[in-house]
Amino acid sequence: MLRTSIRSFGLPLRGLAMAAALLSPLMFGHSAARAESKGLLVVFMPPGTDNYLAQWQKGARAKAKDLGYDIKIIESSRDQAEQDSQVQQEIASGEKVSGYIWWPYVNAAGTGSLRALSKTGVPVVFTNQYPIPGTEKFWTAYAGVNDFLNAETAAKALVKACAESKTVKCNKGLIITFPAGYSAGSDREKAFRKAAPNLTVIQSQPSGFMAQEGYKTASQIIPAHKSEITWVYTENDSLADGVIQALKENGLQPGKDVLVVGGVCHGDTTNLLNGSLIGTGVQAAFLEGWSSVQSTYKYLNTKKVLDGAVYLPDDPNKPPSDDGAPHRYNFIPNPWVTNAKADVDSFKLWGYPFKELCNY
Amino acid sequence: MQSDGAVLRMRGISKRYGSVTALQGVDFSLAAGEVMALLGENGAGKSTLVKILAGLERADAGTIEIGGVLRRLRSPSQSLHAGVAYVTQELSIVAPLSVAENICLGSDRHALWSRRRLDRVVRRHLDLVGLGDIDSATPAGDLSVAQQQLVEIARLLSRNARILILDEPTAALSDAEIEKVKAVVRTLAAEGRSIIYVTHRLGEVFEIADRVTIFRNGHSFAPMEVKSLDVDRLIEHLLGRRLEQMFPERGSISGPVVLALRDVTAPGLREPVSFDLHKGEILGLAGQLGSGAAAVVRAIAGVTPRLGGTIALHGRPLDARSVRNAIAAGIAYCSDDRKRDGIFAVRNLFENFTSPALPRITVGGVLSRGREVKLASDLAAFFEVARDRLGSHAGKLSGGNQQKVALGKWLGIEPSLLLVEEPTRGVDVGARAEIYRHMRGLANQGLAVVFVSSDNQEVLGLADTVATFFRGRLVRITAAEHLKPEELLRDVTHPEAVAAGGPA
Amino acid sequence: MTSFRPIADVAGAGSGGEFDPRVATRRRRVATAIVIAALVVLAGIGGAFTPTFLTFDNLLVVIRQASITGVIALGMSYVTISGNLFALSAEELAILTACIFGWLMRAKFGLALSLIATLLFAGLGGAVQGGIIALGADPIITTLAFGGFFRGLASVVSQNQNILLGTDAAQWLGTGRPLGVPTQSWAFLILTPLAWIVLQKTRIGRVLVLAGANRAAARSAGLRVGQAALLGLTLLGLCCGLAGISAAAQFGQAVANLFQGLNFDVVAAVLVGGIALRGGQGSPIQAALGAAFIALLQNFMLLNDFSSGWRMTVVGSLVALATCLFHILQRRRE
Repeated sequence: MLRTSIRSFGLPLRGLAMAAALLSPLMFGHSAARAESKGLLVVFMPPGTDNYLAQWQKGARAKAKDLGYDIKIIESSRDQAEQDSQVQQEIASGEKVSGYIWWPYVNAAGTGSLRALSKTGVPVVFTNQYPIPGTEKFWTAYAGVNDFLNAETAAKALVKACAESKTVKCNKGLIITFPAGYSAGSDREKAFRKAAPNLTVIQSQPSGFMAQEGYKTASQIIPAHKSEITWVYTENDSLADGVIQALKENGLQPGKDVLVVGGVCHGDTTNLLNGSLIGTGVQAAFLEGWSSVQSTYKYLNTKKVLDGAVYLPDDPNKPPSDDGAPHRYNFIPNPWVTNAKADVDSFKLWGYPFKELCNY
Repeated sequence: MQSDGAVLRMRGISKRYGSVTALQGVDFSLAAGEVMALLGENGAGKSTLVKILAGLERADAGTIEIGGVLRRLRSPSQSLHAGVAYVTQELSIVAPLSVAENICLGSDRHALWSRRRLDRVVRRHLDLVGLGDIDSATPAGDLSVAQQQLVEIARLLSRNARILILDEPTAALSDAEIEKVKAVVRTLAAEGRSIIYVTHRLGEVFEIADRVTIFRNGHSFAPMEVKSLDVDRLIEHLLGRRLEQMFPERGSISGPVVLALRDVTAPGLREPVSFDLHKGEILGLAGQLGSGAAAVVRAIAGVTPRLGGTIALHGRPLDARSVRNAIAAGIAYCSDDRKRDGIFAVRNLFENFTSPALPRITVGGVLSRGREVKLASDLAAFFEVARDRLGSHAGKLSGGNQQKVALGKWLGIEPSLLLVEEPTRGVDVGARAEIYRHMRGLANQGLAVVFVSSDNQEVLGLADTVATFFRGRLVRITAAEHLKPEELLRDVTHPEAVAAGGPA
Repeated sequence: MTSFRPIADVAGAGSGGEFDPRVATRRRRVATAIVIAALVVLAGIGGAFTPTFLTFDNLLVVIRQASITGVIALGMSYVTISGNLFALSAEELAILTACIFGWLMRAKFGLALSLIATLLFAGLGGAVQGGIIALGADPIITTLAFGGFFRGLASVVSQNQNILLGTDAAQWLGTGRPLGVPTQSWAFLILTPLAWIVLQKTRIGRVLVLAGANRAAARSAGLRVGQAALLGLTLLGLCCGLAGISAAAQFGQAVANLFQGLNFDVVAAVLVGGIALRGGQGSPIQAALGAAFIALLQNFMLLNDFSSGWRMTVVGSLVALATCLFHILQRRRE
């Protein structure tokens, strides 16, 4: 099984990474030489040093192995220009590829690369970042999370928790988002605001993906708005971890004085189980990678795409079938879990328990 | 001087740097075709004046007329445009470019010209500076320092400079090269150009200057005709007092041998060198650049490897494979380039003075401010560096004071042997005498001193014993008292050999 | 050796008495004064426009923000002053130490052992780079290469997973607030004067400064110039170790994705503090002030809801401006 992942270390070494990306098929011998391989899938994505992305890669690799495909994952740093040149290099290498999976860092800026991939005639499956309107003819199918949906779910859960809370009356609050330019961040923010129109947003601030980044941002904003914050939405639970610490340092008790929701479980469940988070959505990175590969396979198998969107069933025990054609949009389920321990313990999706999907 | 003969007239020039007055209402004028020497101790204001004229500094007050026209000189290019060219000690020669390209440097129109066409353009200027026999396609880096200096002058002449400022043009040159530069200066003056010649060497004033303007403490004195002066009177004017004696009295040498060289060979030496040096003795190694004189001290100091022979210090063999070894053995070495490795220009004098002697001012790894101040103050007092300068950066000091720092810092390690290359290069007259006095004072206390110098006067005046070098060979060792200046000159230049074989 | 004592005998006038220390330090203080003035002006403007800006709470927040960058900037100032420009591996070494600390804690080595081992590793990571640079390698290239190595190693150690420490033993290190001040800020406030003292008052500090001021002169004065790079990089490594431990301890987790953009922040702090790039001048205090200034500016912009694009633009221009300003100042002083 050829498993090559290219990681790169910042701007000046980008050239090396690209060279490595080019050379790797030569160095390791190509998959075509292997009789048992059905083909090669190439994934472009931001770096797997982010644990969500690393988990995504695991899922993708597991499914590819399962289906008999080789997979090559080319990681960029957090830099669209770098990803663009990786695409150029990969195309120029002339490698025989069965399918591309595309996860841009800056969605809009990556459109050029998407177009270049589509021109090769190889199917391109978009993942994680919701495709920008107008780019439809450049990609075959979308497979992954529905950022609008998970934000909407988080918003509804927050509104519900607000209504049920005896200690806080929700009014003004903060939104801490992914970095500026990362389209999943703005998509989630839009959907959240739309789904919770009665909540007033004091400030929406781009931050990052990690607890430390969330803390850095929140610890600076919260003191100024200490007296008026009633809720915080953070786009994932790691950012929420940082916010929760900042709230505590300012004498505010999460879950009691302020209701915090991340909406996407992301590595650590301590704050869910101690009630600092009102709940979480199980957007499993592993399953997203898994289903991206599955959708690609389904297209390669049938050469067909069904119109419209489909939500893959949130069956607790059984993963979706490999048979049939993919839809245009294939969303992974995003089931909500409350912070009750029993709820967390009994949760299962596609045969995987909560801890396996959310602790990484 | 009648007013209408002046090509340059500066009136009431004043300049302050912070609280320090560098120039105070200075008047200065220059006639066509004359060589005007500028004399003064470092810090007297002559450098400031020429920098203002060269557009490198702006005067706080005063006017500048060039050719009867009032000028504002705010940048070097404005000065050059007004016909003023400034040749500094730091040459702006680009070594990999050819001589011709260097001369045309800065005027783009020559960029695409053929080699032959360039040569035609620059030939005239090269002839003028006495480099007529040089191939203009030679890389400038292959020339000697003196030749590079002349190329620089040629470059400025090609810009129609009418007034040339030469700032210590001979400081880095050996005697033979100096003659060449002087000849060029005379040629240029005869051509009708005016030359401002800044120098520390009094002899040069008498040789080439028509008049001399003396600076002291930011004031200038009315120019004097050189013909009406003699050395004593010039020095008197310069220092404001009569200089008793440039060189201190010699002492009697009766101490034991401190340093013994036996058949030592080193890079730069063609024949083995042997000599003894006694406690309290000053040995002058005389020779021009490349004569091997410097190679000897560098081998002793551990700067370059010793290739053969033995060196003994206090009777024990010295194995100085590095500068650190040598220092540990009590050998202090000052190179000829104090800016490069003699001083820390951006640090103050406390730190400079104590730099080789850190263990002495340290208690358990921690610096003792008291000890540092004491050591630095003592060294400053010994070398007569004003104590209120101790806080200044070494780079801000005059050349003389920098040399005192470069020398003085070594006393902190209590050396038994002091090695100095060119002890007074770029140092003004007053400070020279001081440095000689200090070196003698150190010898009188038992230090053995070896110095290398291309200044014959210095060798004869300061050394007890003189070793002359020529082309990597020790010519002879003799007592300074018995050495005549002509003999010394002959030893270090070998005029017959040079005439036969070209420059070394 | 002889018993030669030139000074005592000859220099009758020499006494370690009065000199004017103000002259000695005036120049160095120009740059420091500019940064302090800028801090005051910014605080004044911020206070006028943003009511919550000049509060004690917010001040603590700003110091907390400046702390991690500041601690590493202290180490970086040593590298810069020693004449070795910058180490571009600070971010990566901090990430790696966070992961190593997390890994050790998860493997139940205990807090004390994990701390010591991590700091040892951090110091060693710096020392190896310092040793290579001392041998004459280019500092930028060397540290860039090591940066890649460290990041890769962090990725390997963590297997790109969130390393959960699985214990609260270290938590206090990341979240404790003795006397109401965060531990990171304590570290910053204590290490700043300490860094200054080491540079100013110890022999090795002096060697570092002199080697940075003029390597050739330091060598010919018999100083071990290699010590300068070694000391600078080793201390920087330790500072990175502290930052890494603090980050891992704060949330009880470590991941190879921490400290985004830290290298830039640290270099910016050193430059905004006005430390001369060519070495031999400046003080760690300037780097600390630079870090504080940038944190204050970031905080001001955050409170006033500047978009992240604007924040980056402003900080970037500040660095450019500071570099030009101090460069001009430098030239005028010569």
